[in-house]
Amino acid sequence: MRLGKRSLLVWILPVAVAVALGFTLPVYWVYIMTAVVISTLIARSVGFVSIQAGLISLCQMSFAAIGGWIVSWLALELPGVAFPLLVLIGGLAVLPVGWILGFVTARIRGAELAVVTLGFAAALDLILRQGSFPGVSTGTPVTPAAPFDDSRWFFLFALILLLALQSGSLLLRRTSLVSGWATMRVSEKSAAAMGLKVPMMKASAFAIGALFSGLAGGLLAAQYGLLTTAAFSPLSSFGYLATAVLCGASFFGGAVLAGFVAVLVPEILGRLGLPLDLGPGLLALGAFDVLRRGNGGIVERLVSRLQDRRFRDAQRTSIPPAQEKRTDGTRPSLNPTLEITGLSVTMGQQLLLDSVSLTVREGEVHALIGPNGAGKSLLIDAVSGFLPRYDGNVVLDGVTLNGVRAYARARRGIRRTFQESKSIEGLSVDEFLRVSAGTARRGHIDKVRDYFGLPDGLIPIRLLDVGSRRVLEVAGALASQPRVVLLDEPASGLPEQESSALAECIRDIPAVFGCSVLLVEHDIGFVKRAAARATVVNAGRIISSGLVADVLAQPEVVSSFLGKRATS
Amino acid sequence: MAGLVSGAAYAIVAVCVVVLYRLVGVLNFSQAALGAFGAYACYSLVDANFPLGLAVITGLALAAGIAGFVGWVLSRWFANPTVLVRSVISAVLFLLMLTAGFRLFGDSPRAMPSLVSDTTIDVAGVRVNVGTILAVVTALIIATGLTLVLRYTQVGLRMQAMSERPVTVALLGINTRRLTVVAWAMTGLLSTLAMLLIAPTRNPTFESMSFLIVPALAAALVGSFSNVWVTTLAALLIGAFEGGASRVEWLANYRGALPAVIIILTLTWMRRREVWDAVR
Repeated sequence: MRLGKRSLLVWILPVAVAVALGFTLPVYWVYIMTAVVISTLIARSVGFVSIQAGLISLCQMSFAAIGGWIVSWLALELPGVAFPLLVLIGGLAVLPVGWILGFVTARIRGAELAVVTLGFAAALDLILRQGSFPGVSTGTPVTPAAPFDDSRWFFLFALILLLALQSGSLLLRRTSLVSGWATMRVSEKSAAAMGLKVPMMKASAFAIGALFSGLAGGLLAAQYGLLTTAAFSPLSSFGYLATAVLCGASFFGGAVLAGFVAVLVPEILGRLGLPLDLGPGLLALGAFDVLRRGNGGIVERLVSRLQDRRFRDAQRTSIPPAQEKRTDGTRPSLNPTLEITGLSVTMGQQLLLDSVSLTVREGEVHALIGPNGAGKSLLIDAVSGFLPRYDGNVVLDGVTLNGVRAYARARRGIRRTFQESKSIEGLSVDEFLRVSAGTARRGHIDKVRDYFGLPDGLIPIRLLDVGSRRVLEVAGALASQPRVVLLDEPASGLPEQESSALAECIRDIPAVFGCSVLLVEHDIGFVKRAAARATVVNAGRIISSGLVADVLAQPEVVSSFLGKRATS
Repeated sequence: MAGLVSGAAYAIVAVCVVVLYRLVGVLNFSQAALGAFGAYACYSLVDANFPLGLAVITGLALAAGIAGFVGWVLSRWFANPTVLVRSVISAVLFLLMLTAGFRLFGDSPRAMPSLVSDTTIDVAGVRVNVGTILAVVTALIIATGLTLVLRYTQVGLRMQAMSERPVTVALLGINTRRLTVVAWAMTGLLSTLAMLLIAPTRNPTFESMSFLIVPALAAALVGSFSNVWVTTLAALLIGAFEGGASRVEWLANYRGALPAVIIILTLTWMRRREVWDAVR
């Protein structure tokens, strides 16, 4: 990254001011500034876990308590060791605790996860109350070795730690982890369909959150000297959740604001002679208001307003360049790419798919058509691994995939889109393509982008219109260089003109990307334009299969579409 | 035996949590805090020399009123929230209730007079406290009553319909907001009753009372947030275990961690299967 004027203004200047203040202000204010840095770490930890990954956690302060306990203990046992090292050890020791909690609770969602984390926090609080923090019973405070026993140097250390962690999370943004969290928060199914391992991602969110909180706890040990359980009560985790939501701690700026708010609100209340316990209530009211508006905390709103202004005049729709029909030497071969044989799905007493067999050949666009409720989407769910069980075989390039999990099927080359669009509003076009592409080459992403005429990569998805989001989903699936894509009604909700442009794009996918397509679509015009062969299902059975024109001419097919029973 | 009073109180709060979750879809962390509000109001009035009966009725009415107001606010501003928003709201609400509680009632523990006499009677050779029997009977009556109301009355059926299809029910001309408020108010009242039962046994602070939600949530989880009877039984057992464990030396100080263990074990067992994008 080049150091332009902007990064000078945003990063270097505030840091320089903070350092200067740290060495000039009275010690009391330096102490306050250190408290702000520590609170920022905790708020960022909440930001990672609860806002970015969408895992409501009420135990972030418990991680801090563990970190603080370890650092207090180490400081007593190893008095000569450099204090920063102790804090790092404390933080790194909490990281696996977070990982395990995240992994164990991977299938617990929403309010239930909040219950689990609250239970964890309450239990840990109880245990800590039984034996006090190390050093408390003998009255030996944690004293960092020089120079960090000086509050100014201690502040500098806390600040450097915060900046180092922030640089680390900027690097993290370049991996698909952060975009994966955003995807998982909207829909775990979408995340798995991209080949992401959802439990691992939850564990990693908790692990990173625990690291941040644990380091903050270690700093608190030195800040307070003697720790008490009151500083880490379950209630304080509620308070940090409210503050992080209010300020928008999914961004670093929001976390810093939250750090200031968490420290300065009690400070100001105290100076005004008001009771300190009003603070959490005020923050909770603020968070309530943020939730009521539903468009993010303070800094999140600010960032989206800046984005709105920046991309006001940018192209926000996908305009696929006109395709000349490509038939150049890419005749569909007869080799099967995806073979489905005897696929049956029962739910309760009902037979929803009755031994369906279907072959998608290499290099073809194969349409799957049929009336509503015929079982088309169910078939896609079965093939992409989202049904707990089915009978029959799903074979990709000669390899049987039965029993293979959804994310693993996606990684082996079966990609899908969803009938109901689940656009990941928090991501930009590029971030979405990258997380969806997985390990595919970067150059391939550019090819996909040009092919579909996608808007500028930096534009957030929330600014795109509905049609462009649908196109983006198809593009995302292709970006991973799959063997076959299963497109579930990609044109639903598209206006006529865009729909026919998309049909032409899909028609040429095999020639351009070397990938077969199974296309579920209601619009017969779309099917005629995009597909060469078609299979018709009705009430879970295949009633016809063959070239599109032949299939559509059959009387049973016509009557199934008109809703009548095919008479035999 | 002392544990059974706690168990009965947990049971009432847990049943309230279950019923509210089934009807309104909110997992209410503040259930115990709402009850604590009513209980503390009642004892404040007793301190101010009001007759006990009047104080109890005022406390119950106050908690019902506050809970109803909360229900009204939530249904007004959060008609169709996402799961994420719903959980955060619940946490934020808890924080608000505790702030208000601290402000009004302070945070020092206070001794609370018992509502029932301390007399014991002999049942088949075992000395049993009348208060304990009353508490358990109350919990059972509430569980029975709520089951009957939900299953057999018009209001109950409407409420269940509301929780499944709020928009459809609203389109049928049923006032969903009023039903929501009624459901909240009812749970506020019942939780106060629970807190009045448990308070004399442990001289709680407002905060420790509010955190009685943890064992209640554990019980509600065992009943998978739907079965009132399993929930009641689980709550009574948790209470009895806590009572028993207080006599075992190595366990006594850690008995409070039991709900957390139950919560984590129950949930990981119940959710061991992979279910895609189910709303919870």
